[in-house]
Amino acid sequence: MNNADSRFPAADVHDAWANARIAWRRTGPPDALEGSLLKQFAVARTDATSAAHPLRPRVGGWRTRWLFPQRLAFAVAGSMLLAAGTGIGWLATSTGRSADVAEVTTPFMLVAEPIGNTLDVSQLLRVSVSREAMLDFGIPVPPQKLHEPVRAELLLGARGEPLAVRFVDRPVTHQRAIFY
Amino acid sequence: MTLLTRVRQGDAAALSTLYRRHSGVVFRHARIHAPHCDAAADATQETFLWLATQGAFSYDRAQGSLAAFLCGVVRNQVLRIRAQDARQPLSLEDVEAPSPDGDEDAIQDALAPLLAQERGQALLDALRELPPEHREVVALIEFEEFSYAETAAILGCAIGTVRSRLHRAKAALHQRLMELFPPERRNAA
Repeated sequence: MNNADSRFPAADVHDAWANARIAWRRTGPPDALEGSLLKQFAVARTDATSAAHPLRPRVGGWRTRWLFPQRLAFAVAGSMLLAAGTGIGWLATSTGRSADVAEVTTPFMLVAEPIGNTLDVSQLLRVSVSREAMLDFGIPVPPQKLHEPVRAELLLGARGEPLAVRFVDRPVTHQRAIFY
Repeated sequence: MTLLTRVRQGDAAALSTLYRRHSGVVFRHARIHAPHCDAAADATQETFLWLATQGAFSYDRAQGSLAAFLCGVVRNQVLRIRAQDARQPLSLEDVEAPSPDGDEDAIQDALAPLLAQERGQALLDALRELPPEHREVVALIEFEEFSYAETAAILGCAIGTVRSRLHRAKAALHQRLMELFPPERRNAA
């Protein structure tokens, strides 16, 4: 860069950026878009629910539901209690389904409040979700990974209700460098 | 009473004011990833409609400016449209940088402004050749003047990632300018 800078005066670079900024900012949405937006807004307002009652804020979005520190702590504690108390062994099998394929998993995150600090788990379900679906919840998705699925494991209760979830990273296929 | 509060209560005039204030940056950011101009317009409309119907409750001023918040939303909207749009690959032709419309002739009247604009346009052309993740960082920081923190929030990545992408992008752009405007040509000009 220093070499390049010495051959290209700073004033020229500054001018180039300034003019590019001006040209960039000259673009705006089509003029008709505002009218279309307001028309759509009017339609939404005439909707019976929105007209009769003011819109309520959404409660329990993914941030508050999953990333709230207390719930995350509950999730970790719950998963540890579950592994120690039940002794089912699914935890061990899910972290390494076979001896030669390791998987990276996050801690379990609660999606429902446990009753009496215990989780009544009856089923572990492995799911694969489109990243595209995560956009609906405002979760940032890198464009280049838009079509890669996200794998997760769900803990279900006796009635099939979801209790906790954790994400599973793709299998690590590299071989160990050291054997012991 | 803030504009957002009025929008929550169904005030169309407040929505119109918000739209006129932020639609430019939202639309331009949408065009970076949108497969075509109509998709960018659709995403822009969906973003403001979402803001008016439910998004106004989700926005927290402590998380950054409303413009940055809307850019993050429109980015998701565009990515969803891209995914639904027959899974078309991103075309550089479709996401071409904004071009001046009617006033280009006026600028070409004088030599100095022409040369200045030529360099700026060359930089925009070079920007089109960058990967989208580099292009959007340059656009957000250098053209829209968002902070590093706001840009990181929009893109959902770390500030360090933003810095490194910007550094690489500017190095590539500078190199391109060097190729387009070699010393002898600039001296002649």
